[in-house]
Amino acid sequence: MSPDRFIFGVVMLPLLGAAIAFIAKAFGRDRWTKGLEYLGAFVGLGLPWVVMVATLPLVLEGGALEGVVGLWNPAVGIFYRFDGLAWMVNLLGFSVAGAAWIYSLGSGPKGPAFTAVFLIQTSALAATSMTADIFNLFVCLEVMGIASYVLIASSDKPGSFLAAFSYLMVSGTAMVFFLLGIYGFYRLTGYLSYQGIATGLASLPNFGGVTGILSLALITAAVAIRVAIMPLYGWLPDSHALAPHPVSAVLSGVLIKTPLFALSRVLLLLPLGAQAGELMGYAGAITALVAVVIALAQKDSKRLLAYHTVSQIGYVVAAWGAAIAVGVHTSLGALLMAGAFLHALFHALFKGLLFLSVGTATDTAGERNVYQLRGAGRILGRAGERFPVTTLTFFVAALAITAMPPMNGFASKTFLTYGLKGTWQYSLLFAASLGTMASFIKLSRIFWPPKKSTLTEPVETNPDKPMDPVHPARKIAQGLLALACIGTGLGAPALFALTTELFSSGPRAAGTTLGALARAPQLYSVDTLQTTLWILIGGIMVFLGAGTPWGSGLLRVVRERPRSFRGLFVSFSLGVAGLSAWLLFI
Amino acid sequence: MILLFLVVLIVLSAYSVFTRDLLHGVIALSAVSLVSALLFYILQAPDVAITEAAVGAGVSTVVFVWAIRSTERKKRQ
Amino acid sequence: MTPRRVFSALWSILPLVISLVAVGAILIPIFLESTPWPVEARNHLEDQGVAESGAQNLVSAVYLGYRAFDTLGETIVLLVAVSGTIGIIARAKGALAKGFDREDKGSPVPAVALAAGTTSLSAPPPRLRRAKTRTDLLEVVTGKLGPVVLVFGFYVMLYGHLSPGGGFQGGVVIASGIVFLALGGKEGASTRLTEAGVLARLEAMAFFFLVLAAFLGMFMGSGFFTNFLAGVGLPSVGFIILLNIIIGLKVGAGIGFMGIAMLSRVEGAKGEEVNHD
Repeated sequence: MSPDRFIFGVVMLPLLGAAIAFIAKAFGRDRWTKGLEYLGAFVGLGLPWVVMVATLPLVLEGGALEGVVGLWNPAVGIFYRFDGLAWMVNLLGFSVAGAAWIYSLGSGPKGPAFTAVFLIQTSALAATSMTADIFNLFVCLEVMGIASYVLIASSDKPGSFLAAFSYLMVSGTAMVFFLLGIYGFYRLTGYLSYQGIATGLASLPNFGGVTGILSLALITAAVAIRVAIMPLYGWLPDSHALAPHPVSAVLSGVLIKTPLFALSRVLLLLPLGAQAGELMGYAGAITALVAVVIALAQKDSKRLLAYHTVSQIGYVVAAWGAAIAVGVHTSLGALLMAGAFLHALFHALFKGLLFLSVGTATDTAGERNVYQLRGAGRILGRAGERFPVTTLTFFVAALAITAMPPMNGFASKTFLTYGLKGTWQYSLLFAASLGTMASFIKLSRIFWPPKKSTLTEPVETNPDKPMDPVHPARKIAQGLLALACIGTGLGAPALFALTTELFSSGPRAAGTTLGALARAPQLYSVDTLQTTLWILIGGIMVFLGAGTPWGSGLLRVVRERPRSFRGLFVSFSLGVAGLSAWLLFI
Repeated sequence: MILLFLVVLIVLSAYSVFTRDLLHGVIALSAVSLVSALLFYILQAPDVAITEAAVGAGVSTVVFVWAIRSTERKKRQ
Repeated sequence: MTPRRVFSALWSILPLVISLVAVGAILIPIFLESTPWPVEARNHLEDQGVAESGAQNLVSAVYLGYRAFDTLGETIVLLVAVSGTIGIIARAKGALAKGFDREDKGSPVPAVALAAGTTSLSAPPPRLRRAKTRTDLLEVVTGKLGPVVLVFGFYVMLYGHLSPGGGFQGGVVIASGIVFLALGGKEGASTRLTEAGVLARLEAMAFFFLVLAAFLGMFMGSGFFTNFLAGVGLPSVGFIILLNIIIGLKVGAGIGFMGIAMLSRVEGAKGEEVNHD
């Protein structure tokens, strides 16, 4: 069978798995339900790897599978394009989703309905990565969205309904504007495929004029809401902090990046896409710094992690936007794009691991407040964890996110900032690294030994209380992700080469050759290690500074800043207006 | 005719946004759906009209009313 | 009103005004666009739509033929929305839906049993109690109207390739028919169609067949989501009829399931006690 016949397996196999899980739910006899559910999960999360492996040779050669779904006429049908970019995004999605599903066996909500919705979310990720049709992109984003609202609401934390609801409302509103943007393009060109829109616009005088620009702005801003960059991030912290741990891992790790890479296909083809990418890149750099300051101010450990997601996605978007602005066919652009993708991939691994390990620690201790919880390692030990998997995996992930060698975060941040050196974004990202370091010193205090003098230790006060043992599924998932973090860190130069290779068939229009463009920057040079040392020292100083009365006062102001439901919508309309103004008057 | 329907649409939607009573808002929304279904029919899109009438005026109104019925009415402060 | 109050009132609506102005300024140029409408897709459909898809109704041809993949996505949106709603309804009672179970298995409250869709298999299906909120008029009218509405729904669903309508529209009408039957069903007179467990199974099976229909094209047709019926020698319109039936049953069962779950929750909550309002 030729690959273009079974390539949709990456989308349809998770759906088939979801269908099996739904059947397990509807026909539930106790004996069969579990088996059917696991069969569904295997079909949905295991079998797609076969498709991935089968398409690897083709993708490595720089080929791409293109065509119309169902072989209908291209004037009306849906275009898809499976290339290196899609392959990489699928790799990201299936690895984190697989680990998160295994973890979910030992925690939080589970059962056939959860599995089914989770698989549908995974399927939407795969579909988003390979669509080349703007209306199909809309549908994929909708499916992805509705699955995540349901998964967020499946948490038993108080406030999770409200978090899911505000996410639903904001992104629902944004999707209406996305639809209006589609209308604008269709009104101008009569096509829905990216390629059709691009050629249609090129044949119009002035590229479609104001309508073309505004449609682009609407589509970009609506996707930016899903990516959660600075003015549009407000929905994220609540929903990621209140979702069940495995869902948080997937939401933070994969779900917010897939739309970004899907958007890069649009922006690289359309006129003015480079300018839109440029502005998003600036917003990303600002996001990286501002979000980390807010993260440093948080008390709740998962909320702290959620703000870090915003900050790290800011890194990705900063490099991604700069790559789009200079064009990915230049050597700088290719370097930046590969750096952005690698950071997205590595962030998915280590942030997924952070959510899972912190989730295990806080669940076992029954306390999520960073200032209250101490000695989590010992608590876990009492809960039957002989070998301190959770503690070790947490520190692996923390070293990775703070960009300490030899973890994967060090490699991707080095690649990413190398391309930005000399710009003002670089200074912002450097400052953000200090904040990341400081806040992870703060978060790692939950594993420090408890202070004798403090009275506020709800768990330590009754050491005889029997504890729920840590489920082995949790340990397996954490161990897998930790190995992935270290392994990708050691193999980062090879991965970098692979990524640039794959991207050469990637989001660009075909025809140009990448050649020996992006050469990986030296990973372990005096320069990079010196930078790391500065970040370490600076981070410790920021951490100490935050502990002073003046510092903690400032952080309290940040923590208690007014946030409102209405603010989400106002910031969206201001974001759209700002982007439109930028595109119109640049 | 079309213009009249459009004006009615705007008035009803504005009413449903600004009314204090959720039930009134839902009924106004259902009327919005009904009027837009008529509008779609006039504009020769019978498929869309059927969908709008069945989903907008029918099912979603019922779901909204049920949701409101399971809440409790608070005294005005 | 003092000037101060006026000022603060203005200040509070300022964000609203700014947002409306910003969004309006962006949307108006798009709506006022004056380039000639593109005609390529329209001409193509007019010339070859019927021949390529076999459906007289070109709307069906687009959403079940050319863009069936989008339709699959929208069907999934509905499926997930229904299953999320059921989960929330069941948990709002203080127990957890069976699909989302944790330690707590939940007490067998009627709403939960219904919502779970599975518990009702062992226990007899809970009858909808005759509550104060229901009248003879309602029961008689809905009970008599229900079968008629169901037949109409099936008509809309089955003839979607010829006349306006199709799986989605027909499915919604079928769902209203199911809810009518549930509302009008007197003690002991209800059909199996109003049992949540049956609807949940119907929905799951329909979704399974929808995914299967997309898959079969890979093996029997010429690729994913291609018309596999044409591959075995049937008229090509068969694919659209098949998809219409599957989608209609899925939508009908899904929305009907949700309706019955909500209905029993409302009845259960309001039935015993006197109305507050």
